[in-house]
Amino acid sequence: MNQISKPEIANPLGRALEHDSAGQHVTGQALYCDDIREPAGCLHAAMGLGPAFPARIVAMDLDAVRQAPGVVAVFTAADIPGENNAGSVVHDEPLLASDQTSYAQQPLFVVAAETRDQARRAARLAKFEAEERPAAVTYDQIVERDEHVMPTLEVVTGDAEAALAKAQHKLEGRIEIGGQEHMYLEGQIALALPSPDGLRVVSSTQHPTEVQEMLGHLLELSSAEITVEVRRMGGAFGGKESQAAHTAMMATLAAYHTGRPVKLRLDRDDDMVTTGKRHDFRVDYRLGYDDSGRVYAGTFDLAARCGHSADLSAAVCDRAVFHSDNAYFIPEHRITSHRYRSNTVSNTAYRGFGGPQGMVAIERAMDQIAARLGKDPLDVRLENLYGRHGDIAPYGMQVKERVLEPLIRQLEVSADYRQRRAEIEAANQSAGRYRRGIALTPVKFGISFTISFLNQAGALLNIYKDGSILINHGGTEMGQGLYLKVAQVVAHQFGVPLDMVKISATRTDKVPNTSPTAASSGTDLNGAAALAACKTLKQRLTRFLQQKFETDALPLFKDGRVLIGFHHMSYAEMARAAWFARIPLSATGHFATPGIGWDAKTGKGRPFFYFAHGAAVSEVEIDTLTGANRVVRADLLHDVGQSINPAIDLGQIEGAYIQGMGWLTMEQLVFNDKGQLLTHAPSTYKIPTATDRPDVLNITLYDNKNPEATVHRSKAVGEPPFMLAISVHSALAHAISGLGGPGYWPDLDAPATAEEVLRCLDAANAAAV
Amino acid sequence: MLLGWLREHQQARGTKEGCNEGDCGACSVVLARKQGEHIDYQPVNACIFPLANLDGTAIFSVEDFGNRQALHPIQQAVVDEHGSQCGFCTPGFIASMVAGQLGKVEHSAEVQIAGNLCRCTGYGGLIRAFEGQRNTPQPAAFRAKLDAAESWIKASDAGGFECHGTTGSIYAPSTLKDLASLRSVHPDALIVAGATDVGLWMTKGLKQPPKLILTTYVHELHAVEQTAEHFCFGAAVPYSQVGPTLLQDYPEARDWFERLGSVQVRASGTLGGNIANGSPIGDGPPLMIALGASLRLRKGETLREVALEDYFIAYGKQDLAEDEFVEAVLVPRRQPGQRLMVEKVSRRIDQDITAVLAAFSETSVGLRLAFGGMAATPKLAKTVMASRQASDIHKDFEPLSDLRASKAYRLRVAENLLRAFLEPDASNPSQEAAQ
Ligand SMILES: Cc1cc2nc3c(=O)[nH]c(=O)nc-3n(C[C@H](O)[C@H](O)[C@H](O)COP(=O)(O)OP(=O)(O)OC[C@H]3O[C@@H](n4cnc5c(N)ncnc54)[C@H](O)[C@@H]3O)c2cc1C
Ligand code: FES
Ligand code: FES
Repeated sequence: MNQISKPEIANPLGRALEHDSAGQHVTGQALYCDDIREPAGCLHAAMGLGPAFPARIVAMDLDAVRQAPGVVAVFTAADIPGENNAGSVVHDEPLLASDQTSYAQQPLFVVAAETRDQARRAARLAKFEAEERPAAVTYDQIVERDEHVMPTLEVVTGDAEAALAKAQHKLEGRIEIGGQEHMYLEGQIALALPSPDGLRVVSSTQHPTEVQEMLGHLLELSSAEITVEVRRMGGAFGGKESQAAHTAMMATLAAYHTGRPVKLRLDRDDDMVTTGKRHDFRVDYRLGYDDSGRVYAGTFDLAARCGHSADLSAAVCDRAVFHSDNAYFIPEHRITSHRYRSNTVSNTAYRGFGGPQGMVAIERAMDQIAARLGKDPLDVRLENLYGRHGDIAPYGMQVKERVLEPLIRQLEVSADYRQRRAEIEAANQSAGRYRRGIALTPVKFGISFTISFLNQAGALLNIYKDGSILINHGGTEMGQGLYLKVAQVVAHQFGVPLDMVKISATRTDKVPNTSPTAASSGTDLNGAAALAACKTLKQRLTRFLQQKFETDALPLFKDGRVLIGFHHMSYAEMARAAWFARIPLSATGHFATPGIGWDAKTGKGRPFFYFAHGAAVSEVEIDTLTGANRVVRADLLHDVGQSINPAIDLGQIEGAYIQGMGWLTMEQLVFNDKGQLLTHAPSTYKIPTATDRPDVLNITLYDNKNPEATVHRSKAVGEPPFMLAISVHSALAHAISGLGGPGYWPDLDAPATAEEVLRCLDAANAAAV
Repeated sequence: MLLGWLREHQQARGTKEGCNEGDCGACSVVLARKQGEHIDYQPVNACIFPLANLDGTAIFSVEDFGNRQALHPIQQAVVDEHGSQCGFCTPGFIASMVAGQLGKVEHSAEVQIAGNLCRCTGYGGLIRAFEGQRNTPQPAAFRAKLDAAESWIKASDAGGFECHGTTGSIYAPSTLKDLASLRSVHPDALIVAGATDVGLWMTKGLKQPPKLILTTYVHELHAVEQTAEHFCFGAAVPYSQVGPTLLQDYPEARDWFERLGSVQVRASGTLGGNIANGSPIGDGPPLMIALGASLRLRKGETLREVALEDYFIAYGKQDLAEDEFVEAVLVPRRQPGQRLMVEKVSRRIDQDITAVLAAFSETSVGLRLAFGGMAATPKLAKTVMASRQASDIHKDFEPLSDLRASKAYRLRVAENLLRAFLEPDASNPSQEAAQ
């Protein structure tokens, strides 16, 4: 039993309760897929990777693989009974390549062996006769080749060119923004359990329904014959939205043929080499503005490196377009998004889903405008906030809520921004080896899947005779506390202690046709579906109680009791009584977000239900000898609406900020000229550790209620705070800028590695002379 | 490796695999081992910890510390501080923190857990949990397990065994004499110390060396001696014991020490292994070269001493005969008036492999400017040592561009750091450097 059950039954909504699995986490009892005891006869699979360059496969010799100790079978594309497809949106990507590979080390076969060690060893024994194909890897190469995985999107409002021509000042710039490896601590994994009664697959996935569907196509089975299950993931961050299916499909292919359970857990290096990452972008921008810093017009060209297939690139790039304005009104604007094909692994969903890449460019531009006008960049940002001079976004949606200005003002004071900025600029005048920088940047992030039909969710609610409640929904738990939040909502509905509500593993046979747990929408959608199920059951119980006590009073569910008229009984007694009276105590609930929709053809509509907001002040220090840098202090103020669980929300904000900081500073993906990933393990790909956390990190929830009728008037929190870290990038540029003389702002790209910072320091020094 | 044994053979699946190469800490467990008369507690990465190195030690994993009914104070604190989200990293953090308590570490919580990656939290709850509990006594149930282990560790006489299996043989001598003779008999065997390099060849490279000779149990190789002239570190002394001694004389090396690998890596890895493997980017050699260290090499009964800078001949080629091995590293004591600067340049502060390591020392005898990451071997910048001109670095080195840094960056950083050391009074080094 968790320790969350306190004797008094306080309203669980809004309380900083510990994660429902915290006790299991700290004792090592929480079961992840790899911790489930393998059934007898379980085989272990490994992927066989192709040549270290995109190749035409002339011949593949797998004899040595087959003959290796412990190997039971080897499978190639030819062994796939159904469709050889791993592309979730567009069927443009084979699960196992056959006559040619599109990127270095693309999987070509699957080995199943008695032990994992044997499978891994065998997988390396393949011999290929292969011809190298040209690789388009860099921006220059992909732009020149000009192949697109999905059509270009253009969103236009007004006449940007004419307005730019008229503008008092013009700014042009380019920024390159690197990708990011998810580095979920639990790598991709699946356990396939075949049986004559149907196939069950335990998969570490954010999208069980899609895994179920992809398995159906792979094996020509109907969805009803396949159950996909996930209790928890050891992190996901978008990396297990579309691409968890690949691992599940390979394990299942082997299970299908051998009739034995098969587990496939990718070794970390294989995982990093064969699964997609955050898209890297190159943004070319132009803005027209006046002396006050007010922006009148802009054009943004977003070039995304999508990898060798479409995957989720269209939606990711759409979201980048929707966030290339961040919080700023640009009356005449043209945003163009190109989705380039490259000979690299197919990029995919990652926390923020294109939004962060869109925002980085406009924030750089705000800083540049301020530098040229000799203003504090905060004033330029405030001048352009939605609401000051207009509130219609380029894609036609009205930005109604006026949260950001008061939020920024509050943070400006609480973080002592102006004073510190003045002190830092003064200290930098006489700085020796170390210089500091500070920045305040805002975030406005749209909540909803931009693919409208995904904005739905289902839930199943069972009340048992003893009164205990089981809630199941389509959302998956990856550490974000979704199960707990939904349980809090349900416990509140029935006025029972939280430990009477259990949430069981997410399974496609309990709640069907689910959307991925993504786009920060987990609680909004699944919490609302759970609420709908509660409502149905409460209506039935109300009718039952009214009949039983012959009253038309409404019952009150509170403190573990039910009060109706002058009668009351314990909640558990009521459940038993209802069962005796043959009331069905199980209900489903469904929710579809109202009023949203967006037309990709016209580029207009209302893609989002609402916006989540936040702002951050980051202060950094750079070492001018080496470019090494770190964040010394950060103050985050974030709008989660009315929080369902402040402890969970604060945790999301903190984790997102640190992850964003990693993306913009030390996390660098390096590919060679053949598109082979060189940073394919945590030895070479560095995510933040505890010592990278700012010495001072103040995080506050902004006091707000969602004007839209979300669960408890809360707001989504998974992704939006990720972009608070843009303040780090901006602060680094600020630290450098003073060296370049008045009006100077460095062309700092992302990630701002030590090398990149030193490059900009040298450029700033050169500009000054 | 230890992790596989725990998870597969013991079905103790609380300890996780996140990377299989020592970099994420998800597999951390607490190692108790004899160190002189004391018991030394350290977290180690089970994924690269060979079972053969476990003789005479005790291992505690997350299952040992407490349970759901009675959480260990560290476990309770992590719950209370909301230190877990997905929870996959959590058992490894708990192990590092419990080891920190047991080892009575004095450094910050951040340093103690820098070898554990968490991708979900921002580390805040974990740091607070350790800070709040670092001095809390162990709960009785766990204390009893520790006491039992301590008494048999003290009584045990580790090493002095051989194992012969289907894939190869392991020789684990306990005396220098036996090591020397085994080395002569099996010059083709691979020497293994802490296995923080060798372990990866196995877990990632899937190598199965047919013969291994362990240095772990050789008493003489564990000696740390101090004379008026030298610190002498036996080749099997782990970093965790090299650091404190070295820092007595060279406090400037604290960052070098705390940024070398992680607590886990420093507990297993040895200075001897770091030097012996001949890597151009090991952190040990440049500092040791700058300090004028030498190696004591042994072949049977024959000893010889080489200056460390002469030991590295070319990439992958050291002045070490087939049947020879490193016995000890001799580091001169600090000279009066000696100046020392050690700088590690890497993408991340902690537990990152070096792009450039600069170690500069100046004594009355002269200047020693050593670099790692600038050439195929760790090396002195001899032209600059003669001219004292930082810009002459181009004459000394032609570094490579690789995934960690470009050639231009390496040269630039080296020059900047040299200038800072050679012209310490220059007001704004980076400004001048650009001109
Ligand atoms: C996660 C991680 C982080 C790391 N970070 C760093 C870092 O920041 N800086 C750094 O420099 N290194 C780092 N390393 C590398 C490694 O820890 C060091 O090189 C370590 O010092 C090697 O020592 P060992 O005892 O583990 O050697 P082993 O792996 O046991 O052996 C290494 C080599 O030395 C040989 N050898 C060992 N002892 C002797 C001897 N007595 N005589 C002859 N040959 C011998 C072995 O045969 C082998 O070739 C890291 C490694 C890991 C896994
Ligand atoms: S599994 Fe990552 S350090 Fe061992
Ligand atoms: S809680 Fe998920 S990695 Fe730490």
